[in-house]
Amino acid sequence: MDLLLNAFLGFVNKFLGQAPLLLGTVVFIGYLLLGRKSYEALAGFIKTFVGFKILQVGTGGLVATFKPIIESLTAKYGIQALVIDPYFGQTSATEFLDTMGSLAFVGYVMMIAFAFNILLVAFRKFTKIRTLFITGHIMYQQSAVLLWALYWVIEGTTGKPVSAPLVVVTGLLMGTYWSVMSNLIIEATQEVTDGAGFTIGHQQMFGAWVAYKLGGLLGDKEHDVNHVETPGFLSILNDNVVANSLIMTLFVGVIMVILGEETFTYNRANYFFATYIWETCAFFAVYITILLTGVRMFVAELTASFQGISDKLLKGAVPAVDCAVTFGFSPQAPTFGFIFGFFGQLVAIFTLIAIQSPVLIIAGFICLFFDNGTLAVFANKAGGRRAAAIIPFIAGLIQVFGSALVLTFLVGPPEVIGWMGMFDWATLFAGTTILSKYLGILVPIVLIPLLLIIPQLQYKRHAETYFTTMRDQ
Amino acid sequence: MLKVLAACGNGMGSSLIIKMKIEKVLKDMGLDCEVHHASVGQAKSDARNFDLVLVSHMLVKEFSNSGKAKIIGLINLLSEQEIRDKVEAALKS
Repeated sequence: MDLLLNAFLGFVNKFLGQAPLLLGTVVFIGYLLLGRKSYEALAGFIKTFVGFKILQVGTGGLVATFKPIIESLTAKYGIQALVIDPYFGQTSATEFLDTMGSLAFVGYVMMIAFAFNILLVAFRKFTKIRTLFITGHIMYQQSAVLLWALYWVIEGTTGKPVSAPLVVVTGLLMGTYWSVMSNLIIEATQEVTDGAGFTIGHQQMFGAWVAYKLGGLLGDKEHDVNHVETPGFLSILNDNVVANSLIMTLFVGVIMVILGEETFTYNRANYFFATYIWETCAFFAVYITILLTGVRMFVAELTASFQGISDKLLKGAVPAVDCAVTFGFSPQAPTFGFIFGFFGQLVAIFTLIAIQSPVLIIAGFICLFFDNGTLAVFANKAGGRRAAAIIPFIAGLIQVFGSALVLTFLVGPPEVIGWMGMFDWATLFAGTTILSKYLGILVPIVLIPLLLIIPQLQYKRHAETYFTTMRDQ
Repeated sequence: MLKVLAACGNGMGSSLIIKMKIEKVLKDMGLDCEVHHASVGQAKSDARNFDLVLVSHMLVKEFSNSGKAKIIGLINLLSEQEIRDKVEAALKS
């Protein structure tokens, strides 16, 4: 009996407890269920596993590059500098959870959340949820960050791996958020895209909804931002390698200059201080590229498997996809959002410095461009260029202040180098995390039914046309 | 075999969606194909190794130097009809 039990526990720890093996197996089974050939399923397993390992090279590299700079800053001025960028948030979460032996739980959170989303759509007659979240890289990222944040504030002092109830509650809250918020933004997305038949499944659905609702009050939708010429040099930011290098050099470079040459140990025979700064900052782009390569590989497999499963189970569900899909419908708005969001974040960062905040925020490219870009697309649709300028500016302030606030509750473990920064994470999830610090697991539990009221209210407003957005009905 | 590349800003979300749509459309059209996805930064340097590159129409101008590859700009990345029409037009020319 003991032998059997030990074999089972061994399997749980050494197989189901290992994130890449677990996710690879999910893909393998998913492909078999979809009727793919067994060798294709095996290829899917391998690409998931290898992709995950590549991703870990990237996250490890990011921490190793950034850590010495943060530590010097803390040693010299007593402040912590952290980056608001989803991949820095994800890196903090997975590197930290890994040290707690809890990385595989991220996979479970994601699967519980996805299953709950499917369930809510299947019972749409009662739940009024029409949307299925299929943005794989976001699903993994959010599951990781939410689990990290809730674990740290609720169970962080125990020093034990994440408890099973917390994994389940985190999964259910995650699934509720995906379902409710992507459902909330359907009508606005249909407006923005002239009825393209999808909704947003990203990090700022709530933010985009607010932007759309407020946009109309701030400006005139006839003054569309797409009639405005934006400066041509900004087009170099379309290349994410260039963008990451430039933004990081701008922010981290300034910090390195302030810290001074003597803080850093490098081979002075080979480098000027300036070229050393440039190389260090360019390494952020190096590791982000590695990280993205890994995520791209395993998420492609995972999404194919997930989407196949959901296509079989749910025919008419509206797919919730990456926010950048809306950009093509409003090509100038993302640039507008980027510029004004950047000013907003700068103002907020200088405010943090002026009030001597213990947490200093470093702006990240993805948050600047994709988050504020999306808010600008929605604001522009409702309120034209004025709205597309004012809302990203205010969002920039919120992203920095909200993230700085929640990070004061999360700093401590040496793996922590940043937070998501995206609008919903600087508001909804920052709030959830902070409340959970004081009230415990009760907060995420209570939030689940509360969030589920939102689609009911939406349904009441236009019951006759509510389900017509779905493809098959 | 047709070699196709789907690209978007980070090469994560949108390009993966176009990739899955392209695979479906080209299969329906009876074409044998291999579809990859990448970020615009990587796709730019890689484009000449492909027959078709599909991106959001606002990113088409990034691909000024892509050899024989045909660049297709999409407005609605999720529209199978648009992908089909534009791929057909590109293959004819």
